[in-house]
Amino acid sequence: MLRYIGKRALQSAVGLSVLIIAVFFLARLTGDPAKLLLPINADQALIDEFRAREGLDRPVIEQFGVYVWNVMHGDFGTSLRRHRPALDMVLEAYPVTLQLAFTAMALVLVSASLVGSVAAYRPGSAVDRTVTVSSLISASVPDFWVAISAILLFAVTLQWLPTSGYGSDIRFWLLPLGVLVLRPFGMLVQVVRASMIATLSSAFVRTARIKGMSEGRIIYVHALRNALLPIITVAADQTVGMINGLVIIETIFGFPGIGKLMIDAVMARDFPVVQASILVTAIAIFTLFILVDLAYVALDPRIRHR
Amino acid sequence: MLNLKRLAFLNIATAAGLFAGHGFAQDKTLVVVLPEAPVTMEACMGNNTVNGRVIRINIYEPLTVVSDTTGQVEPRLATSWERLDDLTWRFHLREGVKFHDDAPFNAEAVVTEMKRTLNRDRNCHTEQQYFRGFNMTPTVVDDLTLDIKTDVPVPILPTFLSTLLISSPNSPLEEFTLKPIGTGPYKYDGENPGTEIRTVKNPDWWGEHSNVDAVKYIWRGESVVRASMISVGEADLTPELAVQDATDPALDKPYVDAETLWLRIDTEVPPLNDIRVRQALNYAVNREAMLGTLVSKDAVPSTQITVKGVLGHSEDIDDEVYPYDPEKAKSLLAEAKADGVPVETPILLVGRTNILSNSTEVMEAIMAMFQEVGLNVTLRMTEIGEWREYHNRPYPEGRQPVIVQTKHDNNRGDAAFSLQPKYACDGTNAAMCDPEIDAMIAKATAESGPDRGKLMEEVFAKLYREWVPDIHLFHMVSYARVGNRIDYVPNLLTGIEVRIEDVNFK
Repeated sequence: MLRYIGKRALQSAVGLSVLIIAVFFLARLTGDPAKLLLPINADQALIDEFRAREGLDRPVIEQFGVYVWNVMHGDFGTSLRRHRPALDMVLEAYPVTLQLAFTAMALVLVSASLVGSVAAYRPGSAVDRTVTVSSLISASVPDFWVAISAILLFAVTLQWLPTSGYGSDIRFWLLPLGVLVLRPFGMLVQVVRASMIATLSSAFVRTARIKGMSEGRIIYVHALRNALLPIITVAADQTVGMINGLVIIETIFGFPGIGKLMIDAVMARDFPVVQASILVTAIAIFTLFILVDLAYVALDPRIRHR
Repeated sequence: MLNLKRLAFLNIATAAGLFAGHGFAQDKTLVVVLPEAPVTMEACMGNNTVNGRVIRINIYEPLTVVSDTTGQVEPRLATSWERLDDLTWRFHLREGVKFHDDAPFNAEAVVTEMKRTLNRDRNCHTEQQYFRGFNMTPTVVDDLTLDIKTDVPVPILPTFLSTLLISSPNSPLEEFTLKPIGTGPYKYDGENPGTEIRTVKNPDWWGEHSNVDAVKYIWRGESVVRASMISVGEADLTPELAVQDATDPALDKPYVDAETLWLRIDTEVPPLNDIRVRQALNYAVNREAMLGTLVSKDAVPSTQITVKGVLGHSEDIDDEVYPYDPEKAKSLLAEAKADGVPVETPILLVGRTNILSNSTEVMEAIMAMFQEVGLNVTLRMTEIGEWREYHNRPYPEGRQPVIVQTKHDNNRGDAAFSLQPKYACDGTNAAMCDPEIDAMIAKATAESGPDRGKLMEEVFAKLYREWVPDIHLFHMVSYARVGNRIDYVPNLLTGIEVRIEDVNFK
């Protein structure tokens, strides 16, 4: 097992290196940060001065060498915009994003498994058709529109929940989580339903029924476990894709997370923050994929034996 | 499955356990919701809108301030000043003022701040924006008297010093401070990173407080969310709303915020170097049609780039807005063409995305208006980095004729900050050069007496009537939403600062 993890970590390190190179050079293709970060009336002399001070006047290859050397020594650079260490900013924002993303994904996994299984139990029934249509709507509706509509309905009109904000009161989390889970929930219900329909027609399910096992136990213990592999694959993909939804959620609801930080940095060409936030996010994603691989091994003995 | 359920439970429990504290508006604690978080709390970045609305005047104070109604320079940490000679100004400082860390405010503290702000290695916007044109040498005369000598005459040095925010001499000399320490009516009381910044009344402030005890600043990028927060009482004030969200006349207060929207014509390239073509462009624009549709119905058609209240704004030309007259435009173009002006030359109209709401739609409408009178115009919408290539000198040789959408915001109260960069031959954003205009600008901006305003008014009038280097569009308005608990009247300066001393609970 340790050998397997080591191999996957090595593969991830290669992927990470390619990503670092790509992000560094692609970021510089977006243009000169001096033209966004200096006052609008800045003349060429001031722009040249800024570029020299930040090392942006050196050959890109040399800049890259300095960057890699510094990263290897734990220095991710200083934000060009906020004049703070880039890594500090990223690590401040990361816990919020992790809480939001993993809570949302946990809710999605549980609810989609339940709802998808119920729909798969009698394919073509009224329940199945209702679930299918609802999940398609859920997967298709724009996050932004739902978020604003939810604020106007639940916070302004009904006044049940606060409009936005981040804090200890669980009410702050209901609307953001509700909006964030919609799209992956819709996608995952479809996957669970399809996977469960295939599993429920398997021979072992028929055997379980003949043995007189309860339907609940058949569905949620035996069939669901067998249907889990594609579900986990799609769930991992949806977790990664959730970064897009997080930008919207963080912007609208005022959550101080990595998505908003990253977009602001991209818009301002704040290279050190862009690089640090993408690197940290990539490490989290590679770790997630290794965990998913390990989950496959745990769930399916056939993979373990291969 | 059991493992998954346990994982889900643990995640929810962990999230709940890690929640940070939060509170709703409390009595006499003002909640201000801004469009964006401050980028830094550093004094030398305090003239940027996103920072200034929190720290300017409220935490850090300058020696002087510009009146939002008269444009005149008024005392703040300096009580008076006089010009000793062409190059030297003497400032008398307010007595008995302390910084929030109990350090005394005196002439030495001002000198220390000048060193901090003017240190080019610190990359301070205040230095880059306001103090590049001349050098200052301060001399401490006594504890409360400071002489500042400049290397060239600077007749509006007191105006320039309204941008120099004074921080405690104990503030870091090199890096940007994370904990602002000034002399202002409110002192920094901590923050939850990325979520809120708190300030609390400074009991030792020299001035007269409003009845606001403390302030909590939060930020939401979406205008509709900010509007909703005021409506339901989660916040008391937002200084900026999109026009489509300003739907509650009882709460929403429009204000002229010193911003002017206009199109700058490159007068150095044919056919735009012909005044008849530039006049035709002005006659071709239907400003009235845009009011209440593409821009706020409260916007004011303009004839110059400074608003009323700024010293040098010419009221003489306020009523001379070009009427919408496409026939007149066509006739001017025909006349120019007959004289050999290449009016068919393709003209590039350069817009900037997000320079205002509906920016693209405004530019598309204007392009259609130009095409309607027979001009060969295409539109290119750009983001700010690319836009600056068209907006700032140096412009490329052999370039296509270009008209650039731009916006100007003179909230410093003196038109010198507008005239030099926009219309002087060496102006960073100028696309014209006329020795006579140059001389007029030099004379007006060097004048320190009562004629200063009049001389600058004459420049604007001459530009508008005889040069036509621009297509003026609108003095813009912004909207603040003011909650039911407070009294606050937004003003010309609300764009860059929200003075809490002007806010009172009812």
